[in-house]
Amino acid sequence: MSGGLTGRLRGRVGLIAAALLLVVVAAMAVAPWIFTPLDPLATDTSQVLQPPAWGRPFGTDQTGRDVFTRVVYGASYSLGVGAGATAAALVVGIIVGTLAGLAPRVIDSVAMRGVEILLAFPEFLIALFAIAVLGPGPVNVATAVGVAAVPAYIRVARAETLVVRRSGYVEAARGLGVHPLRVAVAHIVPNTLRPLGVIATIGIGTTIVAAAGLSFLGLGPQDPTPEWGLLLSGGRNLLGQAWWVAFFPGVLITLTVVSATVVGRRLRRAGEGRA
Amino acid sequence: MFSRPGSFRIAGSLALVVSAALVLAGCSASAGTGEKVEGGTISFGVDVDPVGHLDVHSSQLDINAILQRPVFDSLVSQKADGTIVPWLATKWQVSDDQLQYTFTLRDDVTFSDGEKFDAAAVKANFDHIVDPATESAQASSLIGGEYYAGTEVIDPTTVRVSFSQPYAPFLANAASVQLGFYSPKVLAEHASELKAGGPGISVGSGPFILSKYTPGSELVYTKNPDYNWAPEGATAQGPATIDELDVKILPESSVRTSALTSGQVDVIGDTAPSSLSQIGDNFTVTSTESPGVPYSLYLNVTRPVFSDVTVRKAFAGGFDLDAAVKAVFNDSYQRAYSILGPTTPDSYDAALEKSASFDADAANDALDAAGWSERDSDGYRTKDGKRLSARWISYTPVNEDNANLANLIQDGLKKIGFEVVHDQLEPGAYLDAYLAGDYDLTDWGFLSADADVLRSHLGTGGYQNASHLSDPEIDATLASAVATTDGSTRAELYTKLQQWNAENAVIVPLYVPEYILASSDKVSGIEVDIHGWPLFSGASLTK
Amino acid sequence: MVLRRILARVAGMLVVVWGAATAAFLVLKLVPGDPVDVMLGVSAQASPELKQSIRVELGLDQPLAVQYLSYLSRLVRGDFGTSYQLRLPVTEVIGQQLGYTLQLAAASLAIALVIALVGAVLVHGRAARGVFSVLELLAISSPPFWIGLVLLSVFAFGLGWFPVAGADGIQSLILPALTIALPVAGILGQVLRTGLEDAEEQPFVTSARARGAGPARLVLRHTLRHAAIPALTLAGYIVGSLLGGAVVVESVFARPGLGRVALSAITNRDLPVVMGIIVFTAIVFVLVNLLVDLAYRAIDPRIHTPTTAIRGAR
Repeated sequence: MSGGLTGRLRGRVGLIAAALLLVVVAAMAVAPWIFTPLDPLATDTSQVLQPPAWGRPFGTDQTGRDVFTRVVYGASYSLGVGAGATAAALVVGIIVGTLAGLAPRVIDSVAMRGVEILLAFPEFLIALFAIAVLGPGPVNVATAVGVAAVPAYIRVARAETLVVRRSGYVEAARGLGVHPLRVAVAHIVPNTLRPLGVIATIGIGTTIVAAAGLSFLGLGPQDPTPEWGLLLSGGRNLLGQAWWVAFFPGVLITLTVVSATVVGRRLRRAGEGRA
Repeated sequence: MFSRPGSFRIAGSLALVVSAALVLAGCSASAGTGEKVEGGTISFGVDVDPVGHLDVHSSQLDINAILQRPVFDSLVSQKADGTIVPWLATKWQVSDDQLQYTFTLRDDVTFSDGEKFDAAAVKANFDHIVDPATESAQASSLIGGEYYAGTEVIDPTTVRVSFSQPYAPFLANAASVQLGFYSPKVLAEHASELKAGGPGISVGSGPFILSKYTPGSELVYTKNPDYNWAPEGATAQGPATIDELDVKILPESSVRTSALTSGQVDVIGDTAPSSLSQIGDNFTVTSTESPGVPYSLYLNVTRPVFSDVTVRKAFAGGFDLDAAVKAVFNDSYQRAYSILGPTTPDSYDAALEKSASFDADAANDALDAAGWSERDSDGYRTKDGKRLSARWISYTPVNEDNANLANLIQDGLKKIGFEVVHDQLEPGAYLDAYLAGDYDLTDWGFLSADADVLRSHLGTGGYQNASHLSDPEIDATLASAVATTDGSTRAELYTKLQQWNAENAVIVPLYVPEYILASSDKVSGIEVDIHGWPLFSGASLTK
Repeated sequence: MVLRRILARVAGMLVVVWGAATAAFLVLKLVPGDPVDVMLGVSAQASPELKQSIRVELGLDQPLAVQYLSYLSRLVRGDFGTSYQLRLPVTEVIGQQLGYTLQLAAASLAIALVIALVGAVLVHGRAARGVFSVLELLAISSPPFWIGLVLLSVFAFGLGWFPVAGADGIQSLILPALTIALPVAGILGQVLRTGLEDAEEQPFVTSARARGAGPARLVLRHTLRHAAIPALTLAGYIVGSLLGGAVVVESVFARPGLGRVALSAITNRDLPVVMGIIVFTAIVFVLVNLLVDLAYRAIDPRIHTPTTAIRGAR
């Protein structure tokens, strides 16, 4: 971001806006009823394809359902998959990365070669391959997206492990008779949490987009589930007549990802400053 | 035939009301205002790629039937109103016991690879249909299924088809492209490649020759200059007027429509009702209601929920079907009143259109009377602690319009306390559930030019009998209807069946799909058959 | 010595492809469900004898090890098997559609490069750079399928400047290529810009300026070359983005291509095609890496090994 006073101020405002948006989306995911009294599945044949207006800010879709309500309820699916898959990937990443860092050279380099190759691909592509193998379905989307997120966390966890290992701390602890596993859990893992936390914040954004992408292609949950990617897909054939059905879910996804990225970058910069 | 979800099209919207012209007689689907021009190319946009299913003798895809018609001829031809006229067979005789059909063939017909069309060619083709290696599900049932006894060559221009019992639909089915003729040389040398198809493989005697096939993208047909054996009464007996027919595969409906309005293609098929508003007045739109079984719900009567006829009738009458169909399709598709479409020859019972339909009060009363009088915390009815719930299975990908309709139906039934759980399963999982009978209802429409399609849907053990109905009286009626060729007798028997279903609600018809063809004023002379599918042999460009 | 390095390189490439092929085979064999049932589809009425004969024909009744070895031997000969759905050899299926996707990928890459270069080179001043970095952020964060829909909505349906779908000519290529290009341009732009900023501070720049080199010459001959290196390390990632983008974009814009084939194969559980595409992607990846290494040597002979790919460039 650009420097200077105006730059810093703009940066601050951006950060607050991003953080605020994330809080709002999280609230939508956890307590959607605060935002809308309507039922996302309730149809109304007299209100088919109405444009945005006062009582229905995002308009209605082909069966008269309120788009705003569906977007709000959709937050729990998208955010749920995003956060859940990222959390699972984090845990797996820490375990595998730490083990790789502590393992003998040979095993470590073989494993890391595999991870490097995976890292060369964008997450969406790996998720697509994973779903090709698992087959379509909402649970499989979460799994696929989680699998795709793991390699990045493995690498960071391993890097941190190596730092601690090289610092002689591990040798000293071993010398004192402390079991290596205890060393790992008590000392290595806490060190990895900070950098991983930063990456995970940005990572949630990628995971959400990947999951929405798979749903958009029809590989995830089915109608009438109000998942964001699915909502976009539903609006696809209405672009000429009812642009609002596809437009607003997309805006939400974009804003969520942008916010996660902004917050994540800020955390990263803060971390770098200290280190 | 089995209508894949791709045959019914996409979301409804606020659109200009376009009246669906019911085309019952073979009429021109386009009216160019200029003069006819010789030669040229007509481009036709379609929604599905028949890839991998190009063998007319085995494929169940509608699109394959549409796209292979220009290439393959049949023994007879069926006009849009149902009458049968000579084509490759000049005349035919049916024996008194109705077990033998003797056809006299034309002697001037050749396949585009030079082979001669004769009785031996007919036998080779019909043998191919019933050969297990062909894996034919549709053509083999059209030719008579278990009633088909064989084909005999009497002499080069006389062939006899025999049956073990009278099979009324045979003559109409003989007009279908599924019972069309490959060159015998292709059958002998390329039988394993027929499904992949392509130039040199998909060889017939038709007015066009398949000259190029790019899967996923396009098919190109060139005129057969030697063609001189059009069906009796066709506008032109000789070769086609145009030089080339260029078929483009454009899966999204909005995409096809834009291609038409921007002039990229001249004709489009399978137009979604929602796209009609984008098509201006200088285009001709022809909508043909599909004969056969309309898109319906099949209630499994062997499971507890729907074993009670009162519950079935409450289900059928408990949601506002008119409003739902209107919301999803505007006025482009009409709601169905019977298990047969109005254009199915010799069968439709129009009296059913006056029957009462949506009555929530009556449904509520009926359910109360049947014992489902308690309600649980979600508002659904319960009886002895069990919730009134039905499992609806469909196989993915589910067509969007149908998914929206399903939503509206679920929502409507929720209001009378009936829970409907819609499971959209992958084909493998769907098949498992379907074959095990592990469902309460499922859905499809079945395109067929003959009412005999009800036999597989209502007859004991019928493959399409998703309701698991087993009623000897119904079986007897179905058997009588297939065994007589007299139109009015058949109409009576099928009317009986339709009314029986209205009383027993084993099948709940939802809407009558239509095949909507739209063409620009650059083309004229495109006729439609009984399914609404375009016939290009007499088509031409106009100035 | 050079020979040994080349052999090691080739061996490495083969290992990657073999790994992908094995991974694809193993996991797909573990997928539940009878492939013959899946192959025949829902509405087929096939007898058990017919299913068994198909099973034998496809070699599915052999023990796993035998299937694996015959699979590998066929792969080596270029036989990727036959598609369940399309009844064509997988190589033919891929070959027929490859052209369209290559076209799309090339156009996307070209557009992305142009946008990224413009953003990195021509944009000066803090304010403009600030705006550009926000735009880059948006480009990277927006789901590509949404970008495509918005572009379609505005430029095709709304203004009518471009066709709504299909693959007819240059006009129909622009919107899809733009959709894929934007996120790629976002990442490339960032990397290029940081690279240029770094490069400008290098000593060789000062000496070039001292020799009287003008700004344009400076940029083109020196700094850009230097900045290209981190951008090159992204090559694999960019290719991956192009492929993944193709799947989505071909769906949104109704274009034929590998993406459509892949999606249809995934939805219909057409396992041979899926496996074929996985192996094909591995081969492409390995080739791209090779090209990138050669490009490094061409641009900067000092460098012998590429730095590791930067995925978290956001």
